[in-house]
Amino acid sequence: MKYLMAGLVLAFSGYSSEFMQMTPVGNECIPVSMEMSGCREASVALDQLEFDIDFSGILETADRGDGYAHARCVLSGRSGNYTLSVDVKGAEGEALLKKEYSGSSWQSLVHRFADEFVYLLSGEQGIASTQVAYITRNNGSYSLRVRSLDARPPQVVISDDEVITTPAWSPDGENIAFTSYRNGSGDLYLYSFANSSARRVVTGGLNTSPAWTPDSRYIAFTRSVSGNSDINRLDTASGDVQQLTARSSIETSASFSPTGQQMILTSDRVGYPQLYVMDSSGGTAERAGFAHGYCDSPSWSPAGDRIAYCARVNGEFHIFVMNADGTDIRQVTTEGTLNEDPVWSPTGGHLAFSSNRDGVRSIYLLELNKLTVYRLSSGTESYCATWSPVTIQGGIQ
Amino acid sequence: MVSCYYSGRDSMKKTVLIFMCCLLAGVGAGCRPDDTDTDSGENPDSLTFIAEDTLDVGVWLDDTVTTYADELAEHQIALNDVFFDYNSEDLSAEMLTILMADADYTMNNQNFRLLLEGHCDARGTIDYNLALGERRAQSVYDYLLNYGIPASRLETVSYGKERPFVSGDDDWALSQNRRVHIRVLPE
Repeated sequence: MKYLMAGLVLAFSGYSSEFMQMTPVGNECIPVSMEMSGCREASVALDQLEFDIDFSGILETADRGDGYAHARCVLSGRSGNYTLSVDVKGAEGEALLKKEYSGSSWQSLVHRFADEFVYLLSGEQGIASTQVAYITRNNGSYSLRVRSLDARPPQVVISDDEVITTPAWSPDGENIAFTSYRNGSGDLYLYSFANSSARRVVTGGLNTSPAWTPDSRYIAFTRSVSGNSDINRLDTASGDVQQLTARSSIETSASFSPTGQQMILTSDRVGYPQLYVMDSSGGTAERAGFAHGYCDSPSWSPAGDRIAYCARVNGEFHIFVMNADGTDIRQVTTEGTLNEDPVWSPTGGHLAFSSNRDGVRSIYLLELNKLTVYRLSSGTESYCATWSPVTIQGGIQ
Repeated sequence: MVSCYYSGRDSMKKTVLIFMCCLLAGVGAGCRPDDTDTDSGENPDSLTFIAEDTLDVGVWLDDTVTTYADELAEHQIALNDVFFDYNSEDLSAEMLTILMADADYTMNNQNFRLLLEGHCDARGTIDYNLALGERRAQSVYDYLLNYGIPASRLETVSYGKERPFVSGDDDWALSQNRRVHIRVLPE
């Protein structure tokens, strides 16, 4: 999705102190209406469905009669065993979709229908059924949690009194790579949803910030040894580790392009952290942006057209998005003083990031068509989000 | 040494390597992987965890709480941490004085090792701070090594900003977290 210049121009006052704000993409959403009856959860299920539709950025809720389609839904059953029956008709009354969804959680059924409704009318993939994993920290205890896009409590995947950090969900949905200090320094682990267990894959030195190739086979990560940090690449099939950068400067925070041919990374070779693009096999890295004094945590969009990253502005840290060629830099966050670790949703229409805007660091999701913000985590300090693919092997069912 | 394991569970996968790994039973901060260990099939590490019936919850085995012998506790109290300016791993003149006293003490008391933990304040990003903490730990390591403390008595680790000492975002709290914490380990 390309975003439009909305014609807003901010005056630049001095060196890089003000940036153009991110504007809503502003695509027209397809209006639809819906109703839900049935068991006592029907009312909150309708709220959930309306949220899923609006947060898609593709469809939007409308009054009955104003939409291109109307969905009549009936939720039946009780805790642990629900059925959602939907009957979708077009504006002329033509039958579009008639289907039943069954499962143990009504939220999952609503999400599945919302994604199908979005696809039915737009041909585009929705993200209502996706999940976001993140790290929590509370009084010296750390955990890796997975949360669906609703009010259900997160699933605690791993918890420990030693540091857990920098998780990364594999594109095939089967594993989450993460760093654990369980054995004294940061080792890289893979949590497998199928096995419900994690195994260590890299040790020796400090191994952090894993990033998967699109085929889920390789993991680029940062290896810090004897005061130096470089990008390495693990072949999860063979177990081989190859060093990709060999510089005395800090090289960290790699993110692959959607073809896997290139990566973007952070390097402080000029004295302060900046973004660089490099072939995935290593070699010369080219600087990817010149507008900031400090940038880190780049994330390449699923379509390959944009980079999200974190930059320091007037002493604060904010999320930015720019084109992959470094042009059209937009500031995404303005609230809070510490906004970091942006990651794209699998369809590229949303960003997840952490922010301290409400006091304690929390995970926020941003829909880019209308710039709607949704707070995903609650209470405990939460950071380091990673987004599931659209089809998930494990996670919350 | 770097060791990597892959467990193929799908018949379509070409590689079928199964290494069983057992978690090294930790006994708190006193038990760290020996630098000379190489990971091989005979010294496996894996995770055991407790899964509750109804939830898919993984919980790591609890560490045995480290209780220092009194003497080690004395050493810990005698050694002072080293602090840093924002975004820097340089040792100021004042910090060099502190470090020299720490080095002197360490040379004169032999029955412990040191773990140099690099830490950063909450500003700055997670990724970069992990690397900066590594540099800070290395700065202190290099100083102590040059002073004459054998490498066998020194280890480094970086926590970046993942394990702060003080919470809060006022200047004092931030400055308290920009440090190398010198932790005493049994020899």
